[in-house]
Amino acid sequence: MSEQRYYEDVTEGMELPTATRSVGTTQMFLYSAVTRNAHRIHYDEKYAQTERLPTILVHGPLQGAQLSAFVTAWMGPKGFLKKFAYSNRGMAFPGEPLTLKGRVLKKHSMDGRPAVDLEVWEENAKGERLVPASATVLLPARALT
Amino acid sequence: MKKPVPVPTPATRPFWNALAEGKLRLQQCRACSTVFYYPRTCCPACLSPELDWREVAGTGTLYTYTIARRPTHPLFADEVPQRLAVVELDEGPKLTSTLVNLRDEDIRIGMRLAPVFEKQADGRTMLLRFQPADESLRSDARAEGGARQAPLPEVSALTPEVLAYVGRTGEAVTGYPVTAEEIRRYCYAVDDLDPRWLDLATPGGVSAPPMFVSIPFDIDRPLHELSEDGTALEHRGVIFPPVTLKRKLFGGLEIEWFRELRPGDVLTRQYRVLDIVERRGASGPSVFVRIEGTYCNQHGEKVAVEVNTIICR
Amino acid sequence: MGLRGEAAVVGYVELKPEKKPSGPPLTSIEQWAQLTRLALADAGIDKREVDGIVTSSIAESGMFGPATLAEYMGLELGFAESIDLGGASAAGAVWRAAAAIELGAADVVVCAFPGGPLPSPPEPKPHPFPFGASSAEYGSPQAEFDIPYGNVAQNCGYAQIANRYASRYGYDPRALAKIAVDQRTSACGNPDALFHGKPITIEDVLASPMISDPIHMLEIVMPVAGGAAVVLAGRERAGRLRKRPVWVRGFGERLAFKTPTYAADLLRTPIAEAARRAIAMAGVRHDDLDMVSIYDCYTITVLMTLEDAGFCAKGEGARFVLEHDLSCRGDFPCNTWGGQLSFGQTGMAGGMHHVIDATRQIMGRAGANQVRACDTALVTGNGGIMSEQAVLILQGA
Repeated sequence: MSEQRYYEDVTEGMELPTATRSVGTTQMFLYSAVTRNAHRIHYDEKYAQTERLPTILVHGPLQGAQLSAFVTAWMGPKGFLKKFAYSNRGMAFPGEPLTLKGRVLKKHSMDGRPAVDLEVWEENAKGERLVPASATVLLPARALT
Repeated sequence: MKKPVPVPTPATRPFWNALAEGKLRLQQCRACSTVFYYPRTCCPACLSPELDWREVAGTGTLYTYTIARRPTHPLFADEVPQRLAVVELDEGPKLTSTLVNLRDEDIRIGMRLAPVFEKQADGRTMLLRFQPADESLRSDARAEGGARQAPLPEVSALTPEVLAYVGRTGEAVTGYPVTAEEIRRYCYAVDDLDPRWLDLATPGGVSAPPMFVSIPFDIDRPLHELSEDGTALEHRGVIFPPVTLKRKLFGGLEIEWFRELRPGDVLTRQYRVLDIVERRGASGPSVFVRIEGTYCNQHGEKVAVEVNTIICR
Repeated sequence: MGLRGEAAVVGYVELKPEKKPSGPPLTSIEQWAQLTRLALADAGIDKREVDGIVTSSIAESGMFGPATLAEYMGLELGFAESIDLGGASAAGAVWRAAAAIELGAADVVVCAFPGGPLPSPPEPKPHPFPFGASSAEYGSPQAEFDIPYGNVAQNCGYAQIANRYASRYGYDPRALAKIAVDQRTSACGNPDALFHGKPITIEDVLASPMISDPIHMLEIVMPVAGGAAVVLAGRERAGRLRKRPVWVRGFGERLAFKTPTYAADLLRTPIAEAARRAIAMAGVRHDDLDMVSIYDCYTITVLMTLEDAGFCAKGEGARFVLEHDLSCRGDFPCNTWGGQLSFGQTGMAGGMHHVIDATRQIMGRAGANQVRACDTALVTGNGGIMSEQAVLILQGA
């Protein structure tokens, strides 16, 4: 699914290929199931409305997991996701088009291993960054392989 | 014969004077830092007479109790059933007291308690009783009784009790074993179809996606352990300071990984309160609590460390 | 270090317990003299040979108690000791007497504990201990920090210990009840016991009123009038007596608090260290013990003693009790005269009945309740609220 990315191929400021996602109710059902999360806010529309929401809410951690997968797919099978941080700034609702974007902030070395710092985020159709995130990935270097 | 009230000695008078003002003061040894109760002229740990008075929040946990169905003495017949407690203050010392403002069936050893400064019938003496820290467990059953509660002193968001949580750890909890099937279920839910997580023919076998690390701690629960909104009533191993601000918001998650997670691994997670910071904004004060969770595998090797930020406002 | 085992219990007296005393009330001093006469008669020793006494506090003599006793009974003493260890006083008195004999301070020592009612003076005075074991005197920590909260007397403290135990190890009320039941079985073979002829079941115990959660009425001793004493003698004197001497081979003592609130850890009682020392001093193993007499003010006291004295692991007491028959007929004879739970608690004399229980078995004088081939016994004394502990190892040979 993903090709291997090498440290030499990466330049600071380069952008990650944008990906689009849309989380539907079926996927939300699967995510509630795997996380054993019975919170009605994710499947019971009437309940969500009592919480003054327009409809049910996409799981915040699912958005984080999607962004993390966006990074692991980019780095390739020999990369190692060393650090990842995200926060949920805005809500996402089922079926809403979401875009995952990112760019390389910095190339450096971490404990002697080639490392790349990334800025990634998820935004909605209005361009609002719902989930800002950062990542540090360890990448193989051609010179060393 | 009248109901006995404490008669202070010169050494204990500062304690009782403070209590009369609704404050709990304990002594701390200047030489060895031991905090102790009851007040003395010397430290019970090292006998040093160099002691300081220190005001504490008076919060603690229930160490043990009994409910006396027969009066412990005829003079206490009016208090039957007597809920006689030993309270362990957050600073360590234990003290004799009684529980008030709660139902017998809600009494649990280990429950969090808050102080109640109760003025006695003589109009002078203040006694220190305890009620649940959790306001939902309080009853006003005693409100009609003779003794009336003094109002609790005003507290800021970062009380000594809250700050005492910094550095505290929760119970270490073991998650269910990592399996290829569970990894697959997770990947399908996240829609991450990377073969390194899914293709069993991958050299070295599949590994789990990094964010899978918390999944083995999402455990199945019977219906009666779920509240009306579907959330779990209790989470094992979770430690959180008793911040009085009611709304809790997820402020973000940072994770660092140290090694890969594979089928067959069994993780243990332990939480620790990293820091508690107060910020004041236009909408009032917020308290940022950062909780660190450390994940270790069955060999005791660190797999990941996460930091959750929870915002209370 | 420790005892050489050259002092022995050579005689005893155990007054029949009475819920309502039948005879005229006697002063503590008068009771002391009576107990001494009866214990010496049992031993076959003349009063003129007595050169040591150990006593609890004498009600009529807040000071100079031992000297007053010596004067009253016409004794000349080389060793006089007043002991203040609550229910551990009797076991504490016995090892002190044995130590004094081995050191040459005395050759024949009487340890007597009156437990009868005192005569009322013509003008009644306030009770000297209005709150029992909790001192209400000015400056007493209990008066200031415990009594005002109603933390008075013994029931609540033991119940707090039991609840703490329950939260840590779980709690099987049936196992606790069985302790009282097995002891009652033994009491049914002891005509002197208060509850002789009244067998009970676990259901009876659990159906008795809850006094202080989780302790039921039938798990608590009943106070009675009585009194008990023993006589100890050195190797040479004991060897010339007809009854089998019961040698004091080991002892241990431990105390660190008065009120359980202030115990460092309520679930690690001082029994553990006291028992460890006694057993090590005597050079015996748990397997060598033919019977035990464990201070039984409450069933929880027995359970925790079984654990802390090393008969089973911590938290395994309930299983141990359910797996063994604790009666005098059983595989783990414990409190074979019925225990204080079934005999009645004779005040400060209560602990002495445990010493006598073991002595009677080793001397072979237990009649219907005799444990076969009884040579080695462990005795515990427990004072306050599991706060003061004394343990003895007694041996017949």
